[in-house]
Amino acid sequence: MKKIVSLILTVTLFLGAALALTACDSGSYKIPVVCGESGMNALCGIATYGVDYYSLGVKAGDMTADILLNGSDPAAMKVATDPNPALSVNPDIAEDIGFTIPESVSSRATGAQTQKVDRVSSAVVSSGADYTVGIIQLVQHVALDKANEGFQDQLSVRMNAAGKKVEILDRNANGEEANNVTIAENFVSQEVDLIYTIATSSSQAAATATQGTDIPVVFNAVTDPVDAGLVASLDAPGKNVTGVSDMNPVEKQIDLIVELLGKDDVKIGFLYTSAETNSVMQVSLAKAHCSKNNYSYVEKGIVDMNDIESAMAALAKEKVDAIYIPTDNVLANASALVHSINIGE
Amino acid sequence: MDFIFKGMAQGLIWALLALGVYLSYRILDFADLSCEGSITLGASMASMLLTKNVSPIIAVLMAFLVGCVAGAITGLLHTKLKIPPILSGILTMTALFSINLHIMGSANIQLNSVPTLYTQLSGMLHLSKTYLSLILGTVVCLAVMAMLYWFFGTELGASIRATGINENMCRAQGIDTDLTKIIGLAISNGLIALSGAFICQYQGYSNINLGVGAIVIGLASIIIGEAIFSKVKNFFFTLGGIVIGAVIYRIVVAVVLYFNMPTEDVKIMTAFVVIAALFVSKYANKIGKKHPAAKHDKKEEPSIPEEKEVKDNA
Repeated sequence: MKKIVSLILTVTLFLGAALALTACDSGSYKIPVVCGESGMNALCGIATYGVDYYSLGVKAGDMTADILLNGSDPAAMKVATDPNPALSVNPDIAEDIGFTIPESVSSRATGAQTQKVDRVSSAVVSSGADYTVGIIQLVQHVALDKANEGFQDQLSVRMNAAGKKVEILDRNANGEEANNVTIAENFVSQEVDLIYTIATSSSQAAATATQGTDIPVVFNAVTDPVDAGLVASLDAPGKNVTGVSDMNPVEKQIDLIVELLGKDDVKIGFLYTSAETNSVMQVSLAKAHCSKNNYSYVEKGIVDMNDIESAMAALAKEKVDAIYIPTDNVLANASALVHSINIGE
Repeated sequence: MDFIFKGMAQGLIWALLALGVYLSYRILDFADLSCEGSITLGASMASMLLTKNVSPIIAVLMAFLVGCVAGAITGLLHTKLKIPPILSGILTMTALFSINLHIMGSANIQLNSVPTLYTQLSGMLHLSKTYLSLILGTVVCLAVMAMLYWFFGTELGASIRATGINENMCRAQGIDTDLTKIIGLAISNGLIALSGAFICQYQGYSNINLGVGAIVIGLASIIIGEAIFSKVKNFFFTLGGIVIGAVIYRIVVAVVLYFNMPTEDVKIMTAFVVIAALFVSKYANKIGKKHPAAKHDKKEEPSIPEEKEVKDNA
């Protein structure tokens, strides 16, 4: 009797598992996706106005050179943003999901080619430098690495033009908050001439560690520097801290979705990581813009990569016309996964 | 040399975490993984209260209390629902992630514009932040050590220690081991949350990812402390060893980050430090006959040394 019961149980279990697998497999949503950043657009989006982290890094390099070489005061230097985000389209992804990008959009696209700066290696030395610059990067990450590279390239060019040498101390906190603090305090002990920080919490650690000193801090990849307590206002930072905000043009991107779909009564799904301040803030901007223009929207916050599948399914069930993903660290790393779920692979 | 002092100051705050982990991991013999959640819980609670202009001391005490609640929940999950220790810790940690987000209201709170313990005290005492945090850290660690030393000498404290050593025997003696476990875990997580409350004020912000790697830092501190102070018998000095272990760990990380070591290798370097500490303690056990750690073995397996003595006599 026991044997029969266990046999029946096993068979049911197998059937259930098989059923679950086929149910999972059937999902192919083919919803147009618009991302907040061109790197993500390359992997899962159809078109976007993108902020390029390399250019942001170049901008931060310029600000640093102005502070070091020309004696500019960081307290009075405006927080910079990407003034002319480039429109890029991704015909391959559009083809995968069977979406035709309107001619009006694709003709305006300038592409996401980065204007690379040629690094002058001779201006970066490891000893006997005129200036020492410390870099704190929160974690290894495609966009943040670009922000670092662009900064170093541009700084070397500016230093070379001025006939000066710079020593760059490039440190990475490996994602641990305590290391941010240790690195920042080390830089203060070493009396570096300037600290360049990439990502919000690294910037906050440097801002705290440099309190009571006059070491300037130039930040990058911070979406809302005012909320993060780094600057008093975007126009007048007020202290030793200034930098570059990676705020993407959310409103422009929402308008782009409407333009792509070619209709006004759109329903947009927001997919983002609820634990990321930057993403929450971008989504709230997007929601405000939608309400203003009477676009309807659904939001799905995820906790980690494992939730993407079910979040996409939920958005498909809500019959959204398009999905908007802000610049979000978790989803940036999972861009390829988003696309493969979208086309049901 | 300044960066060594700064590393020490940071280590003294993380030492509270190490003490908390020591209580659950060593004294209760309970592998509690909720610590990554409760350290962030302490930081979230304290920073949220600070932004509401609550006095820093009250904020720190509240952080300790909510940490105790989190620890008690892990204990309840384990004792009442019979969930295994590791799983109940993981469940609490997972739930705390959402709770922390709700407490903070966002993933990041900055504390540069509100008065914290450090800014208030440095204003009062006219000390530089490094020296202030060294003194404050030492005072807080000594106070916590003294309280733990007193508490684990009381009847309740002794029964918590006994629970970790032999639970069945304790029950036979009429000790409610469920209660002792819950109280032990509550104190452990309270201390971990206390550590979080100091950390966020020290670094000037609180972040949802503050707890990443906390369990490794805690365990590494314990192992380094035990390896170096393995000859110490007194409970107070054992606790002191843990604090010094945490400080050494932080100094090692500061040195690794200070000198131009490749950033990718920071994690492997910390792993090597822990392995080295484990190796040293193992090696010290082998050579030191009167070693207290060996004495600890003797308690559990009394037959081995006795056999040796017999052989020696023969």
